[in-house]
Amino acid sequence: MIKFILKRFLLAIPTLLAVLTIVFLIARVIPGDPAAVILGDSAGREALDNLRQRLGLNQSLSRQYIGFITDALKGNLGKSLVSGTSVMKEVMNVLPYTIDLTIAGVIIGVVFGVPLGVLTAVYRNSAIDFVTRIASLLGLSFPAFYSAILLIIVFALQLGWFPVLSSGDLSNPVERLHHLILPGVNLGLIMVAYVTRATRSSMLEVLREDYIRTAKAKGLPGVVILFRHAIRNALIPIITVIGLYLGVLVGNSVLTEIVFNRPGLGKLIIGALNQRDYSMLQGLMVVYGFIIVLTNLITDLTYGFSDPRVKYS
Amino acid sequence: MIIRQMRRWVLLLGVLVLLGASYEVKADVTLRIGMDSSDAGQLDPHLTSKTPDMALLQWIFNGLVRFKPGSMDPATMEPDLAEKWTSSSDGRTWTFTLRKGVKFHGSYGELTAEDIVFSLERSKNPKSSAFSSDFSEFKTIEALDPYTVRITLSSPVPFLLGLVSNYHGGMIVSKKAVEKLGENFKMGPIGSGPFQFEEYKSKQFVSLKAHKDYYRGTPKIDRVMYRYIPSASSRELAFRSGEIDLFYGDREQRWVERMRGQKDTIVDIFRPGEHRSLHLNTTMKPLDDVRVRRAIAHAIHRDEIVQFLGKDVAEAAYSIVPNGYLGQTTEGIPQYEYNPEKAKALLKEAGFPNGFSTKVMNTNLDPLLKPMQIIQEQLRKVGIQVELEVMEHATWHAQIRKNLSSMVHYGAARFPVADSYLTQFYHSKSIIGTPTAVTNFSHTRMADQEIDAARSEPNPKKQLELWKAAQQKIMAECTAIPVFELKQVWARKANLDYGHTLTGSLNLGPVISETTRFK
Repeated sequence: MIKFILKRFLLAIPTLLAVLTIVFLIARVIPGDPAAVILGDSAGREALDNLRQRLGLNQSLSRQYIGFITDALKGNLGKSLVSGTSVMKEVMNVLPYTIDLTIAGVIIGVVFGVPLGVLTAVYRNSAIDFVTRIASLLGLSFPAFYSAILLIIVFALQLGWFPVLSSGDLSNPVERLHHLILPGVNLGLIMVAYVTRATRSSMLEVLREDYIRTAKAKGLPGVVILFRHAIRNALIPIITVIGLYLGVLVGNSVLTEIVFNRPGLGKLIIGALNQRDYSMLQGLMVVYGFIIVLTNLITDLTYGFSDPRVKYS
Repeated sequence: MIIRQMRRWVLLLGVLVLLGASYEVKADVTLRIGMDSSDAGQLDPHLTSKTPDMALLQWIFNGLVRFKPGSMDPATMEPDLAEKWTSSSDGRTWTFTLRKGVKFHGSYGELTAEDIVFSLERSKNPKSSAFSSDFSEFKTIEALDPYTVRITLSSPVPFLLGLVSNYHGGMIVSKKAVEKLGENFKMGPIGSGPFQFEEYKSKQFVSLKAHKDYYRGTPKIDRVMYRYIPSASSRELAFRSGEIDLFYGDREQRWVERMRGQKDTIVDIFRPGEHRSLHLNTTMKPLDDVRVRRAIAHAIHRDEIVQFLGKDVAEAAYSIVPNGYLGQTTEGIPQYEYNPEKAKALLKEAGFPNGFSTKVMNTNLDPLLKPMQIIQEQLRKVGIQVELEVMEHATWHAQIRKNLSSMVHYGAARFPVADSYLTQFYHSKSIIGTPTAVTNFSHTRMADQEIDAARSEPNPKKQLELWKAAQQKIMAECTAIPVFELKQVWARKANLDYGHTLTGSLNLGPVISETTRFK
């Protein structure tokens, strides 16, 4: 198992290197000069040149690239071009917020999505199935910023239960949770929709299997068939979907972060893009790449817990 | 029995709570502000020209002189760190006498002439300042004694007090602090203003606390919470739920009217307007023909644009120098009234009876895109097909500086003296693509002589004439078409009293001073 994990991480290195190279090139291909963005439009050429030199932007591309890759391999992601603080520190500052939000989204997604999916599969083509399917379609196609504003208007403005600006202090667990609920629900809505649909289709397939028919023929009670035979076998595709969307969720959280004004990786990357903060962009890509590799690994490991037939080698 | 005992405990607890409450010091008065930005930029007054930074830094720093709070009229500037000043008759030597007992924030002690010299030298140095070119005529800056500073110029400048005011390079920093903090100065800027830097939380906020020893008196507000809230709707919702007291608004009539309809809300609309012009690239065909440029000018219907943007927030512009700038004038300056027939006739005369089509680059930011789309429609009516290439903002900034767009719809606000605008947009040294490039997108070069002469003209009357002559020449050649000005819009709770009337703020945000309070 440990060998398996190590292997996976080693395999991730070339992937990350490729991602880094692409990001490095794309960041420099987009027109726009970080120095000009930092200093504004009335800055003189002399001041711009000075800043470029200080930021190391006047070095040749190959030298910048080699410097960046060697630093990255040493685990040093460099400093933000704009603020001058270390990229790693900036990322670590906001990472807890993103993790909180993502976990909240996943929990809400699983807690509501799995039962709903099972229910709609069992009572296929009933009223409950239709209502849930339409609702989940709505959940998928509803823009996150719109649902966020609706949530704010109802629960923050009308009822006054939650704040609009949900960037709670991390050191205060009560406030942290209180500020997490609305954004978490907002992100969770999408996840509920995904999980419901995945659970439903996976369950429908399993329910058609021969062993289910056999179980029914044996005269087992419906509940036992459902929990012991159906759900357990339907779990793997559901876990895959959750794992797949976990990565997407980290990326998708950006709209939620902006409307609720929460710090987070999504907001960090938008800011870095607008300001042409190359080193920040590159650093964030490493972090994103790492998160995707990690979630894939966790997904793979979860298979083993849910299905003893899965072996790692 | 048990109940009685419990009662006693509850009573005791109540008394303790009451005691605690009476011992508790009066709660801090906090002013919570919502700013349109995802983060701070450079918290160093000599480096930033961004609205979110400038609006904040003006509460931390002072200049030798200052604009009256709430005003941006250079004619009514008043003493600040300098008590008084004299200048030689040739305008080349200026002597400032400093106020005594001005304290820097924290433990950085008294402000003396040494700090002024250090600070102005820092602004002059391109390594530490984005405004070094403003100070190119500064020959020497000397401290004659701890309370006297003498500035010697190599040639007179258009408006010296502006350079030593509370704006851009004129902001005075603490020498000791800069030397001690070095690169970290912008993470904890030290000035002498009413509020001192307290904390910066990346992507979230900057908090300031009252400078108790502020020389004009201790501020009535204890703390300023300056939050970065990039989404306009989040700012508005947070304001409505009472989480912020003052915020950066939308420069749109509908928004202004909606906010005015809310209870306990005041909308502030103030100068400087962002002056918008359509710069015509005179090196590109067919805009190299003055008749074509004039045709474009006659095709633009300003009233329609202003009506779209709203009468409170926008104002038609008829001069290439923004309204209210020293030296701005429309008297005796050629004008191009809205007249589509005349435009068509001019196009015919220039050999384009059926009009022409041209590529124009534009940013995707709404405030800059919508007016350009109206202009596009207006030009279409006289036969000019504008193909808008809409792109991301920073990309657009880079592309238009590579001489790739036939027209550039650009907005700016500068120091309110005609020279700043004329030099940056219409002097040949500022032409894009040159080593000294700034923002001369049209390649205008016919008024260099007047602009240069006005810069070093010590006689104010003659200076005004030279600026007028420059504007006449440029408008006659029609290399840029002034279109409109868009003012600053903020909203605040009705009980927030600035302590002055807000009509203008060169630092693009309300002045929060020692007299600002909650009523």
